[in-house]
Amino acid sequence: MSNHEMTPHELLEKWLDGERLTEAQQAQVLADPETKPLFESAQSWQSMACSYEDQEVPSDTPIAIPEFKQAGRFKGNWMQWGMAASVGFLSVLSLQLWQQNQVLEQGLVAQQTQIVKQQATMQKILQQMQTSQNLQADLTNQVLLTNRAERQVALDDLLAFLQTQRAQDQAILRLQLNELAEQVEHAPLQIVAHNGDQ
Amino acid sequence: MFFQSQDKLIKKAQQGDQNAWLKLIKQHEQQVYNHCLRLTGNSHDALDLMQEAFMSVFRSLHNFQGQSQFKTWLFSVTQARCMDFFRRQRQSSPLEEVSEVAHTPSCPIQLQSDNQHIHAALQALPFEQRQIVELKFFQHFTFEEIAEQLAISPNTVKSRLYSALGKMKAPLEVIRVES
Repeated sequence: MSNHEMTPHELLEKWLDGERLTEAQQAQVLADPETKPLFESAQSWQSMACSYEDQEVPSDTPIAIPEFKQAGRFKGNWMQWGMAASVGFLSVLSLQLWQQNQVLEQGLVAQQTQIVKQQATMQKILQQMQTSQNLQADLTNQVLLTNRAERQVALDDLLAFLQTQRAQDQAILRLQLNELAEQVEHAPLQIVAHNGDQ
Repeated sequence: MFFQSQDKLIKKAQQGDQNAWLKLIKQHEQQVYNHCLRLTGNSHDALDLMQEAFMSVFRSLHNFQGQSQFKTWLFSVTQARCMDFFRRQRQSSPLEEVSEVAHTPSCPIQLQSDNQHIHAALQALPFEQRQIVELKFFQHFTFEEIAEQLAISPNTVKSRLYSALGKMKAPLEVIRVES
């Protein structure tokens, strides 16, 4: 049966058996006139049970156990032998454990030494890697600088060449203009006009 | 290594180990004593009942096979002894009301007062209903477990509990107002 189909009585039983109720279920129980007083009374009992402080058992009346007396005497020898045997066993066990501990300790020390060595080697390798990285960075910088300088020189040469060319072109143009100017100056005006019509 | 589980203690006690038996008693004596105290309302009767219950448990310890929890079994034996006790009481004289429980010297005054109210509320119930209230609210057993202990049906347990709850409404309100 699902929780939705439960009657208030069933919900109350469920709660009394230690299960938690949802708020809706609790409201359902409280809404029912039969289960409400039972629920409230049970809650009061629960809180009273919680507040009840257990009292100590009076120690002046120990519980009698007559049947054990004979068995106890019989058991005494066994107990002594058992104790002696267990002491011996524990001594051997502790010795073995101590030996095992020693071996383990030595192994641990060797492992620790090995680890320290490996760490030192790794440290060296890391340092070497750092150095080579620095060298590579320097080389890269130098190559970049050289390239930049070479490009600058080439550009300067190109500019100089272009300026020379331009100066020569201007000089040629100036000569040609002078020649034209002289021809225009010495030629008759009609030819000049006639040429202009053509 | 030095902690022994309850199962081991029971096995050892079954084999005749006195120390194991004493440890078992130590583990449960306070619960059983307070259970009997709440049922009887009298510390002397509670002690006698506890003694009888442990003796019965000891005598039939070899029958305990572990099908139910040891605590459930212990309480079912205790219930049987309590019922015997109340049968004897009924035959001889009506039960006296709780009086000397609250006078335990080691008990603080406020605690004595709280416990006294609880004892009074319990004593106002018939024994059969008191048993159910005790097992349900103080020992936190389920309906099934209580039914198993008292050898009655779970429905009887429920009807007795509801009857007790219905009856106890007024006294509980008085106690609440007083406290």
